[in-house]
Amino acid sequence: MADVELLQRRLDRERAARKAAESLLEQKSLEVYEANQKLQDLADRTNAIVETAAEGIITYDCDGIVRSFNRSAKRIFGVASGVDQNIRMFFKDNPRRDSVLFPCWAYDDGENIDQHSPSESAELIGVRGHEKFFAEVAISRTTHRAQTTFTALVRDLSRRKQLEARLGQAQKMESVGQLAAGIAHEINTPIQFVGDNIRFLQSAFNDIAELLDAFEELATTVAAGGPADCLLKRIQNQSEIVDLPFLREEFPGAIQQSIQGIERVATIVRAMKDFSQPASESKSSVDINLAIQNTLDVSRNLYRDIAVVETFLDTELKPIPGLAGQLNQCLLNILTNAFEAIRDHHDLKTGQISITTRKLDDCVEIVIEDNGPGIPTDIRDRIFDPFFTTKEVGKGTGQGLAFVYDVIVNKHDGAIHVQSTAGQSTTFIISLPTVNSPEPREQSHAHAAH
Amino acid sequence: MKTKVLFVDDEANVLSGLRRMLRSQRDVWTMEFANGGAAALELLQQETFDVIVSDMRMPAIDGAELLMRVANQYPHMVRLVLSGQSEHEKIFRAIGPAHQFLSKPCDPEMLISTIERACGLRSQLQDEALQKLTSQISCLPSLPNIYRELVQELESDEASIDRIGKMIGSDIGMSAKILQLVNSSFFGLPQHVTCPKHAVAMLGLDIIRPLVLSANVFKQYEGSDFAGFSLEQSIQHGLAVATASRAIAETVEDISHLVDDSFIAGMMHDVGKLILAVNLPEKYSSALNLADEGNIAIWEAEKQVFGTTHAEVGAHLLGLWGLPNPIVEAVAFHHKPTASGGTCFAPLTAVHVADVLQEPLYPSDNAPAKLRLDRDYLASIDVLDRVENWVTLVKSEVFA
Repeated sequence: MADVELLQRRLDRERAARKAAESLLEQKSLEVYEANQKLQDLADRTNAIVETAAEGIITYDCDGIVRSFNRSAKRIFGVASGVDQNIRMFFKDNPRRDSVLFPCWAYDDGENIDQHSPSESAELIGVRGHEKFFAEVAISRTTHRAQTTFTALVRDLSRRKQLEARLGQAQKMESVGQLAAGIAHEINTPIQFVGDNIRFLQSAFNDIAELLDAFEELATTVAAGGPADCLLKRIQNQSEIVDLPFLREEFPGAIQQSIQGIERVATIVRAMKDFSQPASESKSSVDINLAIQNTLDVSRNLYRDIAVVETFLDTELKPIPGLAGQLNQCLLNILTNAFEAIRDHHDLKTGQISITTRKLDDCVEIVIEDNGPGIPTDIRDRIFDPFFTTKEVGKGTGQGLAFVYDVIVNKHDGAIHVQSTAGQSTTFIISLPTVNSPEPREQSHAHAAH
Repeated sequence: MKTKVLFVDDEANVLSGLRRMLRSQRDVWTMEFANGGAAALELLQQETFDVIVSDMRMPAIDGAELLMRVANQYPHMVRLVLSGQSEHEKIFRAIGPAHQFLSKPCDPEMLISTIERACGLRSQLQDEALQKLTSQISCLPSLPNIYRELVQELESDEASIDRIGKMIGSDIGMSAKILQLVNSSFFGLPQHVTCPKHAVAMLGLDIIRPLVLSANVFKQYEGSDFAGFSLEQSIQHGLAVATASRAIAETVEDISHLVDDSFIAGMMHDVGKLILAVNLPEKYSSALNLADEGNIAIWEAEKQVFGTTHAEVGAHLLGLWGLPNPIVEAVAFHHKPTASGGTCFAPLTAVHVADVLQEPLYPSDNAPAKLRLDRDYLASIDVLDRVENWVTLVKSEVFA
């Protein structure tokens, strides 16, 4: 009997233990389930964030195989899915592409998870089907359990480029407006003396007409053999009244100067017309010497009292492919800086600017030198930076040279350097290739200029 | 004696053009042409001239600089600018020394009539010393209160063109200067404007602000009132006559410019007194004393002391500044209207009558009235019958 009881008790104990274990198991299962749910939620949320982010987010491994491709990326690149494709497919091939997409940072990763963030973003040419577009990419990298993942943030710059073009146009309009006052003055002066001369000719003609009438009468009378004395007296009187010798002397001058005046006005108007062509994206044949001449014609009023401008233009120069309107604007921007530098630091007599053009093997070189106070060494690297200006608030926008840099270097594949001696001179050297460049170039940072 | 005119420009072509175009004037004027500021100054050292017409934009010595030197060294000369210039900063510099401003391209009729008008006044003001004095005035002093208020208003962010117009319109000196600027081409086409508020609205804040705050076209009266003369009272009297003149003009014909001209002419009619009192205070004081003791009108006393009256002096200045003819005429003849040779109602008529009628109401002392209506004049222009009306009108205006 005792044995049965013992067994019974043992059974009960075992049963109780099993029940406890079961309920513990249930509890633990529930916990695991909840933890899984939380993890899943977290994963879902994170995915949703990445998926719906406004920028394109692409992750890929060190071979370039894409692991994730969010919705914006699909939109930007025009694909239904980019996973398992190579990241390189989405960007146009060029020497920089790999170094941008797979940056390596100098220091060693000793940690499990290390993150490196980009110090600046870069521009690449993105590929969308058959189209190409400017894209801004920012790359970061993380390594987790010996697996490296790159994350690329991609932005389509097309719209921004459009706005930049419009800004450029607006700036151009602004400077045309600024020039307009000076040009009005340049036109008013010849118009004044052309008007004066013509009025003079008009009244002189009236006087002479009377004289001619008298002569005609004289001729008829003499031919008919009649008495000429009275008529001769009349002619003499009239000649004196109109001051014939004075008229004889002044006529050629009046006419000549009027013609000159008219030509001057025509030149200015023509230069203005050429100058204010709208900014275009497609290149045409540009005569650099003519562009320089136009820019000088249009800005003459600005520098008349400030500096003497001399040009040494190579007559062998052939037209180069370029964006005429923008090149004119570049020249104007550089020259305006020179005028202002001289005006603010020199007395009137000694301002000197020289513009030289030279034909080199594969490019055209333009050298603009002024004898102004020069550019201090500490800012020389920054003059092409957008929004950098040494003028006081409200006077300068800092866009002038940034615009120049963009047009010369990015749009024309050219180069621009600046040299300066403090207190003595500043020289800008621009070179523009004579051969068309095939594609629009990605933006290179202005620090490349020296 | 022919008027001698000197033209200055750095462009030889412009000078040749002018020379040819003005040929017709050679019987009336003697003309010389100088190519640049330095050449002009040299010429001026050798010969005397009555008028100088200069371009603004010239290298080395520019127009403003040239005219300033001329104002200093040859104060009697009429100084005109003929320029295609439009930059405001440059124009501000010319405002001081230049009497009037002509824009290029300028047609000959305009040029000739401007010069003729400016010179025509010489015969009015015989005294050379006074001529020089008037010729050199670049601005008239204003009441310090009004000046300060104006500066405050201009410096605030909420400046209102309306209020500014009113302020300027309430001061003689400021009104005269503003009208000079608008009636000449300093800032755009010359307009026959005689209402200071309009003039202010035409110029706009962007011009008025720098004009007042940096170019100093107005200045505060720094002298002190002396017996018989108070700037404040002068201005009040001016405003009173102005209001009365306007009321009178309105009864005759409601043409806006006649009415406006009458108002301004009334405002300005005694500007000559301001000139004399501010620049020759001692002499003026003795004139006032003389008037007081001898019981004669102030203008009669002035005639004895200065040889001329405030009417001619004031008219000379306003004429030099190119204010419209009706105004200048009103100021010149408001005590002797017959001498104007006018044959119909003009601002002169309104001002003459208003001045006389106002005298008993704003006496500068308690002496009996000394101004009389020129009945002959009023008869000759056929308005004698209206005088009764006007008397009532003016009296009621005061108490209105």
